[in-house]
Amino acid sequence: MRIAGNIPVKIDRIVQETSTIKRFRFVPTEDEKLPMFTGGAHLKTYVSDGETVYEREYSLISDPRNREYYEIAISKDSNSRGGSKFWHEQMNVGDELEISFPRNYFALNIHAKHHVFYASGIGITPFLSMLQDIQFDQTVELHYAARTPEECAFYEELKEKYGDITTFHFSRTEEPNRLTTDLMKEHRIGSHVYFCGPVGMVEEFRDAAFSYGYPERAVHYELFSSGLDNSNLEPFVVSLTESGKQIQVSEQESLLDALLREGINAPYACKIGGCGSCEIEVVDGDVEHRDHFLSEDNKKQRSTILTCCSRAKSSNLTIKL
Amino acid sequence: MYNSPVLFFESVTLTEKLSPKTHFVKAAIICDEAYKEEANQLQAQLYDTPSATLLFKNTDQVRDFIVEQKMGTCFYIVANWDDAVKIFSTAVEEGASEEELQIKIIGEKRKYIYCMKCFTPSEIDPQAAQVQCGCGAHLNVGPFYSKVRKGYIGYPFVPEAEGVM
Repeated sequence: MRIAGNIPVKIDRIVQETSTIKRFRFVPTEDEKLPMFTGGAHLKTYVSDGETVYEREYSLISDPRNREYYEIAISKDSNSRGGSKFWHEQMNVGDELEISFPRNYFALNIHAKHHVFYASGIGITPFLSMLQDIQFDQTVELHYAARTPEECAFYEELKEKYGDITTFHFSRTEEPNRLTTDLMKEHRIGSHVYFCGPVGMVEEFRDAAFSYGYPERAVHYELFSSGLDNSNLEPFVVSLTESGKQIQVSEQESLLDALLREGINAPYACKIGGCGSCEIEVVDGDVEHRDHFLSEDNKKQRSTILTCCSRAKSSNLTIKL
Repeated sequence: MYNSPVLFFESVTLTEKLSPKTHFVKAAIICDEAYKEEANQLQAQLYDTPSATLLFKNTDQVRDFIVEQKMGTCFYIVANWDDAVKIFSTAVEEGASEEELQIKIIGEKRKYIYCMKCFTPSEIDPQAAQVQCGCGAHLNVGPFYSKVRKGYIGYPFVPEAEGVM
């Protein structure tokens, strides 16, 4: 497997950070340095298990200016569709794989005076590179929630490097200190807030920020899964104006999956409705928007669909593809 | 990329009448002491929205007041043009965005042009479509405001009478 534009690397170090989280370090296999990136960037990994290729996106946690190696951290998901389980159980030092170039949908805002990071569990990962990318005239604080110090990945590292700006919120200790949205009421003017963690946590903090009067431009978040309920989906038929094709989208697949199945060169990236890469113009039909990318105004004003998660409201939809 | 907004003639922050912005949960009123009646009128419209008011004599007092405010605050500013420009810049330097500012100018708003012949800004009559710069160049007042040059772009032209050979 070699996808044009991808970077061949091999694993040169694996560290068991907690009982469920491993840190992997990649070095290039060719005689070229790795591209620099910006704090909050992620990349896509391609690992092969015989016929199955797992494409998974992970945040980069290493120094954005370090071109010698990249690091990612992976949590072994109990509901794994195969990717994180394969990484934890099958990937070893010396194994080779391909990675994409880094991309960033969760960049630091250059106009902020103060950045406030809210992380829960494995949601800490993008903040590890962002902490190393703060501009000299900006300040930062990190709030990090985990059940216990033992389950808190990078606990010692964060205490040592960023102890003065980090507050740990442990929920299952003798004196629990839960992470709550109330903290956001006290941030100074010019603050930008960033959330990463389970969908429920991100949505709770995002909604709270808006209810506290935060402007949209000051609220940033990244999701690792769509968190969508896919249990009661309806099938529909999509018509494509460019190719003239009609494709049946079953209740078990996304519109994007159906397009790719039929060999349509549809754009995509995150596949969880968070980046907007798969946005396609809608020519006819109503859309049931299920993404986290378009704002409420966008959904009203723009006649588009994010094919990775949104669907047709009725039995037919026509898109410009 | 230069993206620091400045206060200019057609800024979205300018308003003829202050009115509470509903999205925000707190208010900070910065008002020239001489026009404190404006602050009182706005205060009455805010009902029970938590608010803080600074009646200033000079704009040196403004920065400390702005820095004390929390996210979710909308700033309502009442001042003459020169003071408003200073307050606007201070607010932006401290991280506020245009969305978080509403400004009522007491007196005349000022309009500036940036001459593309001598590369200097100068104040102009807000109604004028064509002006003459201090360097002698005749300028069409362009529709584009340069945040970097702090003026509407002024395009030099040769008046018809001078253009005849």
